[in-house]
Amino acid sequence: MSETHAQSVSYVRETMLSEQEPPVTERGVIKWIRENLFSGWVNILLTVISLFVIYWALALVLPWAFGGVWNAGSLTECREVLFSFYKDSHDGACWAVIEDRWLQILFGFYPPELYWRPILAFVLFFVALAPVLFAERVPGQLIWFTVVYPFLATWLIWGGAVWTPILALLGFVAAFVAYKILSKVSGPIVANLGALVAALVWWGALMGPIDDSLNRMVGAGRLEDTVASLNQQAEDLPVQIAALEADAEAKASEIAAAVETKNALLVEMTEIRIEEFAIDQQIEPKEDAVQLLNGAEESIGQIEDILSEWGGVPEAASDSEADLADAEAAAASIDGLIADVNKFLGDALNDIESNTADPADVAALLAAGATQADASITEDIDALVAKSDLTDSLGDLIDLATGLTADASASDLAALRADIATASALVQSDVDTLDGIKDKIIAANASDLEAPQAALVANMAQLTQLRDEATTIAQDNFRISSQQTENRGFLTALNSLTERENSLPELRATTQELRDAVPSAYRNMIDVNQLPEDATSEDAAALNAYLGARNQELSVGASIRDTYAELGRVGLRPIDSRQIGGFMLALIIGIAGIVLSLPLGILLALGRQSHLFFVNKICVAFIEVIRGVPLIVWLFTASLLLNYFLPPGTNFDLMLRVIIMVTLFSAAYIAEVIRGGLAALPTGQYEGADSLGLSYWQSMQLIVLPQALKISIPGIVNTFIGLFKDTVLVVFIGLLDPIGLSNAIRADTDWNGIYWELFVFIGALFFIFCFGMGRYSLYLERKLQREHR
Amino acid sequence: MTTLTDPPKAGFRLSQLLYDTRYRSITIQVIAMILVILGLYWLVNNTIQNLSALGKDFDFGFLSQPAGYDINQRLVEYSSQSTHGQAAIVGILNTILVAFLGCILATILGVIAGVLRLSKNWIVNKLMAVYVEGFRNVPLLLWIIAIFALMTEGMPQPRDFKVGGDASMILGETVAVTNRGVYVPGVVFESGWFASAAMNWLAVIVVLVASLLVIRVVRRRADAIQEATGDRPTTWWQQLGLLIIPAGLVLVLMGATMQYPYIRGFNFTDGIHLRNSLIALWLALSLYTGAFIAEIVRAGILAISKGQSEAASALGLRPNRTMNLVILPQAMRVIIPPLISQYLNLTKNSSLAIAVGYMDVRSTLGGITINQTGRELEGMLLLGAFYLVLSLLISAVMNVYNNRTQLQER
Repeated sequence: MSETHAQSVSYVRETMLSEQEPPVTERGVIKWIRENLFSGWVNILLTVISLFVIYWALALVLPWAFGGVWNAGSLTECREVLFSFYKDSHDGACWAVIEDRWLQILFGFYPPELYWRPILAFVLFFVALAPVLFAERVPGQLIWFTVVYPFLATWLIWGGAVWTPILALLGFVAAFVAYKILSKVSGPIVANLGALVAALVWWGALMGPIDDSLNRMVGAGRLEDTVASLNQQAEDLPVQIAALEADAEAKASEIAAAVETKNALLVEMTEIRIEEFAIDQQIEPKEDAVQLLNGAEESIGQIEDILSEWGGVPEAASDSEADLADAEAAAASIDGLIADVNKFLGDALNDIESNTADPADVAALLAAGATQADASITEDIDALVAKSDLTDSLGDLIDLATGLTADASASDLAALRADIATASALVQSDVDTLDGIKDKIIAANASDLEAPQAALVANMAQLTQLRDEATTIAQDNFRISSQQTENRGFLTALNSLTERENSLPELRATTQELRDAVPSAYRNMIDVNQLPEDATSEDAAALNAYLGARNQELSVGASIRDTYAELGRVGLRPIDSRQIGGFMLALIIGIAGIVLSLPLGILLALGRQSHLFFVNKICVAFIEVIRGVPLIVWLFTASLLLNYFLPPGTNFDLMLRVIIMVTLFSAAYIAEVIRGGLAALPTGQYEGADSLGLSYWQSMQLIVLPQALKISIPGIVNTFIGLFKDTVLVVFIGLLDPIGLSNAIRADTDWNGIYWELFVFIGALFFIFCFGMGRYSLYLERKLQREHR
Repeated sequence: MTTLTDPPKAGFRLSQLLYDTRYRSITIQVIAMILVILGLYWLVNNTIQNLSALGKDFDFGFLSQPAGYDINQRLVEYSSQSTHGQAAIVGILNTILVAFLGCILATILGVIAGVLRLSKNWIVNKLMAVYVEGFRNVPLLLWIIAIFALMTEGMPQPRDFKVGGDASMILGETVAVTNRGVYVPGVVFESGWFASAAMNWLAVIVVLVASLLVIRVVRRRADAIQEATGDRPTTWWQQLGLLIIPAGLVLVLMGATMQYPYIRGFNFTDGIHLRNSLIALWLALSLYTGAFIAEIVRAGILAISKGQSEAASALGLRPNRTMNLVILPQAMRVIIPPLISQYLNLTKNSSLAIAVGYMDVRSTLGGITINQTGRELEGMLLLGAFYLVLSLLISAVMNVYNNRTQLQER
């Protein structure tokens, strides 16, 4: 049996077939494309649409971005360069504005020679951040640097005496010492209150006088040396300024020479391209004429439509008012359209008659150059229609059109329309021929233009460098001149210092005397406005005299303090807040807002979780009010209203006011983030802490907050991103953030009309920062998830 | 033998206020209250003193004085003779208009982008990622002024639309996009029941809302029948009819006709003129918030475990029914709370109208009115109160909706 079987089965495979490769469509790139991009008709549609969108966006942006001009002194120069490369301002970006102003967008009007200070502060920021973000990888002692950093950074950016930040820091030390001492004697409530009072007393009452006396101590010893060195400088500085001015003049003449070269190159190129421009001048009126003729054709079409709709001349079907009005309107619109046709035809004829030349003239125009280079141009010129032919046919059309009335027959209209179409086609063919000639001229000129184009680019680069050098000289000059002015003022102040100090007791006595003259009820008033209606004019005069004397006393006192502060300063040159701007301003406000708001945010979050009814309600109200109102309203509050809320006479820096407002604002958001962190902790943690017998603050400090804050870091980073983006809103209250600077740059006549380059640059700066931080927060979230498992 | 006695009952001692946890919370609250009251007193006192020093008083009477300035976009009657209070109302309506339009468009964009970001199609996926990251990481203000610049610098002038000009209208010659704004067809009532167009529209909206209520009844009935018999009666044509016919009838009765914009002289007339300021603010707010909503939608859908969709397929549901019946109802619960806060953000961000000169409440009440009357304190207070109330209202309404969707959870 088996044998027969063996015979009937001729071949039995004894081994498995080796695996075959899958078909081409089921492997590699093709499989991926089929599965991911073309797996169904919806998917195919999406892919096609996306590819189209990507192509469209790239085709719009890439040539613009990469065909841009990097070296130019103004938008006009950018356009000149672009034009000499056959581009208009839509085809190429004017990146020169960024090259010219990027430092300003980054630093605002911060003095260029002091850029190292904010840069150092920025670098140190990461060192200070390290113990918080990478606690496991850096030595623990670094946390002390984090504590000191805010004071250090403030000092670096704003400058001033070295002891001012130290004295401010000592306020916290005072609070700590008071807390330690009091907590030994009594409970935590008293200790906390005591710490608060100690800090407030230090900052409010002690810090100012100590600062002043330090300044005075150092200053008194330096007085003579300083006067001597100022006198010396008064002799030296004019020499330096004269040298710089000579340099500036030399540079100016170099720049003028380079501009001459540039203009010569532009003229040279214009001369090469003159035939092209001549042809352009022929093309434009003809293109206009074609459009006008098309308009006329369209209008006749509309007349035909109206006539066919009414079946002839519009006549009212009945005597009803509506019908009469309709017919009248139709007749009026036909008349209007006829007038249009006549006008269009007339304009077209006018265009051709007065603005175009005969082919013979065109040939004469081109005789000189290009025709030799490309003989076929002559044939093209022969193909042009004689001007008289064009004008004649248009003249005939006008004759026909003037005869046009509302009762024109359909065939007349159709004939007229056809004639216009023929004329239009004739002109269009001329335009096409001229375009062809233009292309040939451009091709013929290409080689001639290469040399001047290259020369122009080189010249622009040289010009940019010269201008940069001139800017450096101008900045030096400005620095030294302003130093000279400051020195003069300082010298005067120093010379009058003793005199002012001696006059102070007398001023005080006068103030006291005048104060006594004011009726006691009015003595605490700060303005004559506050007097009641029935106050006598003598009282008002007395109050006025007293207020004047007091103001004088205060201002003399302040001026003495200022002079000593300048004289006795051991530290960095002070910088005015108004000079801080650009991206640096956004960073300062953003970072200060987040860092300062953290403690407040933690307290608010704890308050919102607290079972103490009153504390809870205060925190909820604060958070909801802050979050319910837009930041811009808070910023306006800072700039318009903060002066109302603070004691009379307080007036401080707008930037500081903004930082205070932003701090309060972000504290509410941070509080919500931390509340989320607190809620995310398992209840076991709270209960465990309680069962260990820890007090509320101990359990918060040792158990709850370290864990809750760690969970909250991604949320805090996200809040920071939002706040950082929102800092641009300060432009509306007059601070110079990047967008404010872009407005300022546009106000410069050199760069008037520039938008996209600035938007792209500022947007890219923000994008890099925010995207980077966003990625970091995502990474943290993932890491936390892993650690929780 | 020993007797157990209670420890001696001590009377209340003052130190218990500090050391006894029963009383300490009261002490803390009292101290907090005193500090807060002192702080408030300090602020109010300073304000009173500063105001009197400036010779100002605290008075809202300026709201009934004539405003004397024009507002270029108004939804209700307003002229320069109207009062500051009316100017504030016009501003409030403009704020609400742009916030409402923005919320709708942002939701549409956000849902589309969020769903497409989950697509397996690599190109679409990455394209949406570029959109989301691009808008999320650049300040909104920059987008607003960029879109505004695009509209004013990049679009053709109205006179280019004349016959023989370079530009042409889009969507069947009905919409003109110009550098002065967008002109779209409008509806006019030839025999309206009320004098003002706003009231006529209100009538149409009232009818629409009534229709929607009736439609709900129809659907409830259909649900009840389905519950009872298992068969759902076909009601879509009833619903459609109920939606369209009454409102359409009202429109016809009021003589509603479409009015198309057309060029006259150097500008467009008729139709509705959407100013560049509105368009730029609306588009920028929608695109920006849409990017955030896309992330919310994506996270919401991802939050539904894969088992849900697998179980749905195992039951034989087709993908779109899986999405509608299984995934979305569950995802909505995750999506709604953050969505509410995005709507709130959008509403608050509409105050950036200042960048493009859109006349919202900040520009009228909080801008020109304050400058003209010198009433910063009162004006800013009213402005803050308006935003606060609006925020609380939106979150209240959305919370009601949220609670209703949440209730289905077991």
